[in-house]
Amino acid sequence: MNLLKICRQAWRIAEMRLLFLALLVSVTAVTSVNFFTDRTERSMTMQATKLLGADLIVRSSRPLNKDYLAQAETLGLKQAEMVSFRSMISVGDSLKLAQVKAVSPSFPLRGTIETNTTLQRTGNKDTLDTLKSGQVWGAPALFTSLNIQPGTEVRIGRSLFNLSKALIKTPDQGSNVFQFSPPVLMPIADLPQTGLLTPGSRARFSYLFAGTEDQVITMRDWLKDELKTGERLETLNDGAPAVNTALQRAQRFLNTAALLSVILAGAAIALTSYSFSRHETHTVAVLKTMGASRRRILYRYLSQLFITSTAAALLGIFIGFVIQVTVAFFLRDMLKQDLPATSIIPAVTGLLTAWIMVLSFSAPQLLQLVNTAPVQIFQKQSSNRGNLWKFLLVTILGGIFALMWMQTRDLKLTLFIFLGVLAAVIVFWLVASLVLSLIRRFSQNSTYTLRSLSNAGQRLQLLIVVFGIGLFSLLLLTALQSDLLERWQNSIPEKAPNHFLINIQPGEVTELESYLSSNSINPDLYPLIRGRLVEIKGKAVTPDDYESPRSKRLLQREFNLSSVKALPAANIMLEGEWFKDRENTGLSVEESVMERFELVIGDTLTFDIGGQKITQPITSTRRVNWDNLTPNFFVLAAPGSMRKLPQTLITSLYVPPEDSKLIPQLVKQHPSISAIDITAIMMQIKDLISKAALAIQAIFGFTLVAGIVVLFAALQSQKVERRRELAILKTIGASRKQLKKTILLEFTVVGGIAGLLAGTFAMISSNVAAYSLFDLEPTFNFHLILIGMISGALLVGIAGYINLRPLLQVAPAMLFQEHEV
Amino acid sequence: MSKKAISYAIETINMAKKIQLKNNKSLSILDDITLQIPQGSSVAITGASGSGKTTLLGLLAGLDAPSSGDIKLLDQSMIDLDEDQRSALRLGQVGFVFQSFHLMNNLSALENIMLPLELEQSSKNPRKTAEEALNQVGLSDRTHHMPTQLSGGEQQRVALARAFVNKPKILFADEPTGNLDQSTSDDIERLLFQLQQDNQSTLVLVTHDEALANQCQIHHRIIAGKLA
Repeated sequence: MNLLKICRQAWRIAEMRLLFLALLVSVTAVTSVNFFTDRTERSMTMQATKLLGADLIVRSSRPLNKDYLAQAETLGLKQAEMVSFRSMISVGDSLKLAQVKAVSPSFPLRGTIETNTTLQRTGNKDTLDTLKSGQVWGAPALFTSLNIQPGTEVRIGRSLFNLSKALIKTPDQGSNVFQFSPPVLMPIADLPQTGLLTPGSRARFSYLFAGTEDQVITMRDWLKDELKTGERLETLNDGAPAVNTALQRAQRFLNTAALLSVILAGAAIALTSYSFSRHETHTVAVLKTMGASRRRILYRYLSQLFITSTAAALLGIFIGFVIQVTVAFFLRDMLKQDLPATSIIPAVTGLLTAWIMVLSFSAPQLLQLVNTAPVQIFQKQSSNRGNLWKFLLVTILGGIFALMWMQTRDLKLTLFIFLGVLAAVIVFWLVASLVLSLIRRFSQNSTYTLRSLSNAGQRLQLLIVVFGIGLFSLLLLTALQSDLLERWQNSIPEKAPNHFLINIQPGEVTELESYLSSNSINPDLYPLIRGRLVEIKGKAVTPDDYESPRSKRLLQREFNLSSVKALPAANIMLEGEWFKDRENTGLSVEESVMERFELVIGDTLTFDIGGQKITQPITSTRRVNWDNLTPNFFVLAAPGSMRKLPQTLITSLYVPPEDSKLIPQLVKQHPSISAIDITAIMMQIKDLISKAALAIQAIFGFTLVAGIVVLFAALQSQKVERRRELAILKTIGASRKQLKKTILLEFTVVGGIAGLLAGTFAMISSNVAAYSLFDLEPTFNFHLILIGMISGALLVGIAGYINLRPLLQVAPAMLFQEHEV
Repeated sequence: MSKKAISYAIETINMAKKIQLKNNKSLSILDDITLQIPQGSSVAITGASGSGKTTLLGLLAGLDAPSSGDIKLLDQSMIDLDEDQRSALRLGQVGFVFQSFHLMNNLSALENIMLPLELEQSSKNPRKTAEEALNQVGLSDRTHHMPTQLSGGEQQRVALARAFVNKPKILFADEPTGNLDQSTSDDIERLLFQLQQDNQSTLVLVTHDEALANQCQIHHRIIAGKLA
């Protein structure tokens, strides 16, 4: 028999059409989410690389090997050069230490520069073509401290330059919030004439590269093997940790959404396959009486399933693509940018998803079906499928795990969701059977309507589990997205600090505080002590003792140590205890440093602070929220322990934009204090986060709609299941009203129980996920349980009723007729 | 499989069927059944509900395996055959007619009749053969109707056409008129015996309708699992 004919005949089976529908919806959900995440992920990465000014940077304290540029040229990467060093800028007698960046004309490779010829806060897009030889651009702070206007001649080294424009925004600002000196951009060709770059002078040499993802990865891998001591690679991860954290969270969320849509679809397909195999029992028996072998029957069904799933997948991929194009089109205005083109991967994933789903959800039932004894042709009921569920559990779990892994390539996330769903299935099944046995016990003497519930037994249990899992996925997603959005909004609140004040001398604190409080600003001041980590557990350590470049760097540079009375808001205690009042020993260390140097509580660290060695034991471990724009520290010391050491103070504060004179006045009164304006970085980060949030809301909305559609599709299978039952009830005289009541009660109870379980589980797992996957603090949103129960009862009740209502209108004889195989 | 001349279409020797109950006891459904059904004959098996006649039919057709004794279908002992081997034995040689028709709802009348031909892969033009069979049962105007669009009598005619389309050596019928009214039953009975004679098939008929049974050449009665 040819395949086309098999398919045409299969299409006439109601369950096969349902399977097609369930697969279609699932593949549409998975692919549109995937297409969209693929594009938004790349869009966000692109956006984020603008903060770095490039896709990849190699830096060194010595001039870099020109071969690197040649290799980049070969690979077709765009490239730029930068030499950065600190130097005094002078105008007459006034001096200001600035961070001079001598750059090649192609800088920046990602993102834009904004300048202004006046000292306003807003700038206009500019390119380095307009920076002529003999000209430099400088940050507004430079103009303020030197008390000059754009166009003034300044001296840098041996040469005079025209400080022609105020540099409002450069793309690499985000890479170092604590870049204390105002940046100055100059053409790299003018660098030799300044005479500032002599062998041994402290400068940072950088090559910047940008290109396609593949080009960048090839270059990065090549560079990794070529790098010499002192040279290091910088990617987004190193450059802008705050942005990177936000990005990782957004990606994780999008992946979670896609994963949950797989589970949702799986639930629908499991239900449909179950119904399909039950109703094909007689067909198999008939085929066997005619002499068909098992192999032949298996081939028949496998061909049907293969073609059905492939057709559903192809159509689903197409619809998914159209949906995603439409969404992207509407979002384009909101995102204020075009999304990059999508790749073929989501389409391949869609096809594989359909195949894996059909195989894992239907294969065991199919094998069981093929083994139907021909003698069953004489029996009215389908055979007992006693041991099937164990086999089914294995293949479904295997299938789900494969799909999840394929979707995320993130083992932690996959394991988390997988184990969560597994636990949910077991708990839902147990609770459902408990509730049903309770109903059974109390319904013995009650009305038919209630008794019918207890008689529905396993079918109800299955429905509760399927809808429970479906609702659980949706509620978990709801909880996570609101947590994530709320957290992001909180991380950069309306009046988040937009200035850092550093280099505050202890003697200036009182005067500074009174000046700020007269302007209604009361910031927390943190002492800043710079010290090099020289001993761990009493043993001297040097950068050479460690392989990892990060460990080396931590030992090469000076740590910013601080001491505070109360645990800063952006910190979570992981182990140990926070310092008591007036405690003068102990260190609280950030978790990554603990891991990096394999430290445990009680170990001692020795810091060299201005030639003085200070040894203290570690008394606690903290997790630091680095995306919070307040001063954060790897190591905090007990409040009393650092008082006598040389130190300056640091603070962050919010200055209203209209209060433009506050900071210049402050700097004038306290010339040693450096003020860093991070308004521009804040704007960039806010912009990025709001884009990520929009993307998340769009995906969430889509998954929600897709999920509800899938659950509706799942309910379709009930129509086939109930036909005979309703026919019998009608024949023996049940009124339409009674049947309506029975159906409504059954589905409302199923939905309510499923929703209650789903809500409870979603509340627990959203907290576990928030804490372990998204680094968010747990919050017990009990309203999830209520939302789950009500929405479950309403959704499943109404949908179930809508699905079965047509059967109530049909004469019982017709119901019988159509049921018979 | 070649259709060679054989003495008996079906032969059983001391055949029994027991089923194992949950409490480790067994229940005897059929006991000590020994019978021979000559090729080309028509045999009726009658008995009260629950007497085991349908179980016997299932065993004779190789749909189920007996607990003990031997059973030969077309001279081939089925005792050592597994399910697939028994299926292979039936292929093209055995036809079935059931009380509730068991037509495939997703196949049209013609497609239902083509099914045995397609499984056997013996006919060069299954469509034409099936059309002829449909014509034989007087339903040539119902070719593309789906089973749900046919009356009970029409469905059973399609089932008869399906059962006889590959000229089986044996036809098993399980209460073929059980679901039909009297006049339709008479039509179907006439058609059944006519097709059996035309094809020179052996007919094994299970029924509780004595009048139908009496039309067969041989009549076996089964009482509480034993041949009377």
